[in-house]
Amino acid sequence: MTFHNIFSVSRYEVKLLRRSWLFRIFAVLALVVLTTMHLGTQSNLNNQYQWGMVALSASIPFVNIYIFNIAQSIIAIFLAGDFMKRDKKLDTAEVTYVRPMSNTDYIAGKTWGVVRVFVSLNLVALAIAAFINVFASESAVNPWAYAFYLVTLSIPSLVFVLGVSFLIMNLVKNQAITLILLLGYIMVTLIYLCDQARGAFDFFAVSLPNLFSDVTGHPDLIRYLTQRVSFFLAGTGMLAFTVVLMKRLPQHPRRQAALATVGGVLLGAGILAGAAYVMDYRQTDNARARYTEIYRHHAVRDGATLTDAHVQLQQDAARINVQAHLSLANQGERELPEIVLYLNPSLKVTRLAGTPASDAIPFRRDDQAIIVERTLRPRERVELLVEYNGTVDENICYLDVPDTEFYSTKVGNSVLRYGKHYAFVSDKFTLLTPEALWYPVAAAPVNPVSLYNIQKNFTRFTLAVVAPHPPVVISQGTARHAGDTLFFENDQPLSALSLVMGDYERKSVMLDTVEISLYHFKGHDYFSAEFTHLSDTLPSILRWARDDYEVRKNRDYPFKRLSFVETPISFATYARNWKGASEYVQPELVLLPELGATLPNGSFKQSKRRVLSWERNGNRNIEELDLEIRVLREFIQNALLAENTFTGEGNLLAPNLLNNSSGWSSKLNKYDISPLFFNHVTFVRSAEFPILDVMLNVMLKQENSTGGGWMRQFSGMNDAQRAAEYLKTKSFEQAIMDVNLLPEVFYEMLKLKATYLKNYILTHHVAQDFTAFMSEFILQRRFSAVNFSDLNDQFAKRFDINLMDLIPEWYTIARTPLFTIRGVNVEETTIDDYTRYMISFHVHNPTPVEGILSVRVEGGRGGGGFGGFGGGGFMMLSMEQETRQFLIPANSYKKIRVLSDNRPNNLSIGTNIAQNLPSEMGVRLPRLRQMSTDTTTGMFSGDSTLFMYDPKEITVDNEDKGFRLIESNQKHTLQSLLNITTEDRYKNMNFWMPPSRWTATVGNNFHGDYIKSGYYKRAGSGQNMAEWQANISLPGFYDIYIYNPMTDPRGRGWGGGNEAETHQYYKILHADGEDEVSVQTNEDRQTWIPVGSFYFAEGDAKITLVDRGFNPRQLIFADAVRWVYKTNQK
Amino acid sequence: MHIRIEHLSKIYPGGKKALDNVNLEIEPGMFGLLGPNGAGKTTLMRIMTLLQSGSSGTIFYDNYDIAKDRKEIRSLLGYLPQDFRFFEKLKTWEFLDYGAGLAGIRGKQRRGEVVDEMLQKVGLFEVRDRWANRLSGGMKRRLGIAQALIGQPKVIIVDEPTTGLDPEERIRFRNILSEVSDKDAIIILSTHIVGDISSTCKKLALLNRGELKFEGSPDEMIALAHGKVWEIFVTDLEYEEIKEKYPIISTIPADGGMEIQVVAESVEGYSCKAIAPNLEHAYVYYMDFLLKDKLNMQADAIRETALAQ
Repeated sequence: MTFHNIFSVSRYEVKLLRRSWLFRIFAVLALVVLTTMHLGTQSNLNNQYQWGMVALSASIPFVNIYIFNIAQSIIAIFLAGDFMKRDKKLDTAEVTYVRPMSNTDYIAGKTWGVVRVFVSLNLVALAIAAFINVFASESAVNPWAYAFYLVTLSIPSLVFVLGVSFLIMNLVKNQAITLILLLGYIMVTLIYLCDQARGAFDFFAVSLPNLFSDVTGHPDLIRYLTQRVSFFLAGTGMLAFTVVLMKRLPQHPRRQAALATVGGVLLGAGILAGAAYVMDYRQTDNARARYTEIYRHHAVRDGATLTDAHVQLQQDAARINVQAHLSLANQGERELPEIVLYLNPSLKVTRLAGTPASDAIPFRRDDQAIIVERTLRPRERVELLVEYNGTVDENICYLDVPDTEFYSTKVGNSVLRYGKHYAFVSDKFTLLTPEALWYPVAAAPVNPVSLYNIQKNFTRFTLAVVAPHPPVVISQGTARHAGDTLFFENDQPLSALSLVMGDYERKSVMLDTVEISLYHFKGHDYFSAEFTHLSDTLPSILRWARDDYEVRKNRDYPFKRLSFVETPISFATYARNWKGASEYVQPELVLLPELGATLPNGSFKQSKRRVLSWERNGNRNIEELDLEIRVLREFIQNALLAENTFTGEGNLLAPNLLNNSSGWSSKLNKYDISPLFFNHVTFVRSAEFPILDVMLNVMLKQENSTGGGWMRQFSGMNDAQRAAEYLKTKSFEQAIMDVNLLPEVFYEMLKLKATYLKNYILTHHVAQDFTAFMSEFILQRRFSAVNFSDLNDQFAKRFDINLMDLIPEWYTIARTPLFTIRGVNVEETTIDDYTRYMISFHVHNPTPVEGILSVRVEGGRGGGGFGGFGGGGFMMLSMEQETRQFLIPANSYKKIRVLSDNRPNNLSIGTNIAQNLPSEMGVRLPRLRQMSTDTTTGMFSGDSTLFMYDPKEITVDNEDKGFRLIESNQKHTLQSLLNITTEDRYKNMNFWMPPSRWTATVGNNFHGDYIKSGYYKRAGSGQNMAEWQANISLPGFYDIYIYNPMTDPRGRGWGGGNEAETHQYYKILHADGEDEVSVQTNEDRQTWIPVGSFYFAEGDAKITLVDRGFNPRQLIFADAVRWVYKTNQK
Repeated sequence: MHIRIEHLSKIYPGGKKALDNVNLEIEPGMFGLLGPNGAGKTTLMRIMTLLQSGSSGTIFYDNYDIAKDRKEIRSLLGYLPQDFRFFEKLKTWEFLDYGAGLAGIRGKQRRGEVVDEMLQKVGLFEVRDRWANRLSGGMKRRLGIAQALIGQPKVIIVDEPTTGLDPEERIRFRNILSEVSDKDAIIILSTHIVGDISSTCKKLALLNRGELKFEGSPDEMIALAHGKVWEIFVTDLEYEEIKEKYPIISTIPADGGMEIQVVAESVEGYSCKAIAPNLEHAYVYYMDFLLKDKLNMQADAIRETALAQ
């Protein structure tokens, strides 16, 4: 190799590349796309950016290189093909080829030229990013990240893609085929390969954790660099092969073999590095499998209870040295032949004894298990001193989490991959939660045999941290300094002990007896500036929030402290229903993400701008103080109090790639602080039904007024409906073992089952009694484990119900009832000189399973909360009345009468676990016409004739047999071919990109016996149809009605309130021929619209809807039609 | 410098024999390589310029063997291929600068001097900043030879350089070549335009169907054709007849017929006179009569005529 030759070739390669129009066009396009993406998702020029996309200082350079990397690969593929073609065709190449340079010089020069050009383009792209970073974003500037991503992300990809391109071009020798192959390869990498083998094939590294934390740096540097090096080496290896394959006689023929060997070695080294990368993960897999097996092995054993633990810790860089004095008791009925403790497997036990002075007790170590060879008789207590040291192995964490989720690096729809760490021990930052098993515990934290079958010990912890470094130490309890040691002492036993040490700043406020603190890393106070008017008001706002929450949850905050602690962005956890709390919520502590990057409403500046523009659009003024209050409240509600959070799906930068979902899904909120009131306070032990602990907490957490009116306006399937659908054919017991069930769906199922059980009890007793009993029972047993049998005994005494009579069937039943409602009526009545309203309806349960109806009358000013998404918790100003529960027996007809103090306007009927969709029906009440003197309420025998088939009034709904769709377009879309997962039968309404095919959806606005559903699509050419067919047994004139479920809500916004006119066209086939009628659908929604009278002979009658619309952008709905017999006179 | 071609053969994968045991020695000065299309000239030049390999035999540049000493040989070479186009988007001077760089001239300033000198020499200095592909046909050819000459190569191989050039450009081109040839360099000029060779080359070789058919000076070749070139006055009718029998080199219409020049061992039945041959005559004579195949063909034709009669 001669550098002079390489530089000569590269110098002109650069010139040619820069002057190529192909390159110029691509480059400009890439920069335009890049700039647009930055401006759209990361700049503060508009308020559309996600806080998570800018919070961390490395975000902007990362996104820049992320996009650039993909763009440059595409350009490079085009150019590589172009160059090779040029070399092949023109004799110009020959005048170059006769020159005294080696083939290596030539290919190296060409490659170096391309790399130079792309790196300079990259620098331009980075300059744009830097400009936006400095002048138009909320993100801090991190120059190091710019260099890091350029070198480690962009260059290896470029070298690899050049290697692949040159090589394929040399092998295939056809530019078009090469292009197709390479572009296909890029697509497959981006869509499929990137998630395979932990990202080993992902040469763009889009799936690799790669975002710097300001505190702990890169989340997984060694693995990341290994992967990058693997592609760099493979790329250079392929370039070497390109030299070998080059159509020019080599300078030194004998060196060809040597060069091929070098290529082979480089490629091999690349593959080896890739293999090392995969093997590293394999080691994690193996460790996890081994640890799981150990838990499985010990799961069958009875365990001791850890009642006291004094933990003394000293940290030395990445190691900890700990002395733990433990008190253990055998609270069971059988003697324990050995005591099993669990400790992080890489922490080495150096001594285990009774007391410091006593002899060592023999023990065996089986990874995380410490088997202490000492018997423990029932009621016996033992003191143990365990001394151990070492590093903390994170592989012990989250053994129950399926691999797909455990290894998934995706966070919502963000392209930023923060990585996942479950424990930190370093001079800069230390974070240890029980998941890392950093202190010995007696109860196995996870049970792989039966997840819910775990024990929870409430332990009196003290913690001593000797010579802490980093300086600020956070843990549960009251802190006290003594010499160089910091002690934490607790007033009550806790279910967990956690330790955080970092370079923090603290802000705190006293709320009565509770100290609320916020610990943030130095330099990370991005919020104070947004709340400058709040200082004096803050305690009252927090108090208000707390009081409101405590009332809603019917619980008091049980600790003396509540600390919100910022943690590095890579600190990860999972929503685990069986645990009841995520690791982010520890007793007294809530561990928040770095700079609130992944929190809903995490950017206060942005929230303020949003509220301001909202108010401005409504021509309202808002004071700065009110603005700050509102923003803070929204944050507290959405980030900390909501049980669910909305998370983006897909890819933020390419949202419509391969799916047309709404792009958002509801996920369990891992920062939900309710476990501080529930799961960290109680434990109800049941060997037979271990789920009861979690279920009871879920039951007690549920607020009385569930779901505002707006919830019912949603169409499509939500997780609760998916859960109910599941229970139609499968039992709760099966669901518990079902690893494929999403945690969100299972959580809804827990809620449904809990609510069902509660409502079942409430069909016999009033709600207040039940609530009071449970509160009292729990209050007396806070911070201790309770046997379910104790609860049941007390319950039976108080309510005369043996829960064990209900629970086995509740647990195993695999069928659900369904309810149809008829004859809804409202009458005015007078009781004690006050006007009251009697609401009555008939219900039929045709199934062999009993079910519960939860009936609530909504009245007054519209019912429902109008807090909307943001203020749900605080602003629930509802005129709702108490919900009444009715147990509807199997195969029964019932009439239900409920009384309302206020003039009612809506009846809400919850069907709990039933086949009804939606499960909560909003029934519009008819106009008040009659007076009644009958004031009796409750459940009575119903009128079965109301539910009989009436040949004079025939309704055909889209769920009925008489309905069918006629579709012209049966072709499969790419999307339908790629969607491997089974989708919901009913989809969410998508108004903005309505489907071109008939799509089923459910919602209260649709008609239906027990499934209120309909089909919709965007207006078409009239080729797609929906057809309703009825069998007429009584010839004569019938009035025809069409049910109009809704209209396109988009219309309302246009033209200053002037709604776009919409029509649907129906063909009615009757005895005298066929008529087409037009139905105006933008008025009279959710009602039957008469379209005329027609004579029908005996036999089949048909009504057909064509998908032609009045205006091309309207939606077409197919729901139900009705034939109402009028006369037989022709 | 001395080039020795030894037993060089080239057989293409389809079995086509492009070169068949060619042996040739080339001394400094201009050397012409003549032959009809498909004779193997380009193959020979491509092998000589190391753009492809031979099937057997070898070539020595002094003591450098093309099979082994490619780097050394390449540093001796300058090459102008037949179908020579330019990279788009390179200026005239850049094109030469690129060649100069690859020819081993180091230093931007030094390269600049060399390039400018060469541009002056080939008369392109005025258009040094013009895009190379915007040059006229002749200018492009001059640029082509300039790039072949840059770096003072010891062997310059030029393939069909004057095709399509107007006479003025052709003369200019020849002159440039001749100027260089003073400097102990070998210039191999492959062409089927005999005039290029006659006016410049001291020695030439004639290739036909891959075989070397003649090697010597132009005069030696011309000498072979002495008494074989005839001028005949023919009528239109005779012209048709004579066209069948002899290769006609030139035809000049005259009163009552035309004056033609033919190449033949002898002409019978027509009034004719022998004229002094030039290289073109010699080439035709050589191609048509001395090379066996033509003679065979003629014999076959006579036999066929006899049979028909």
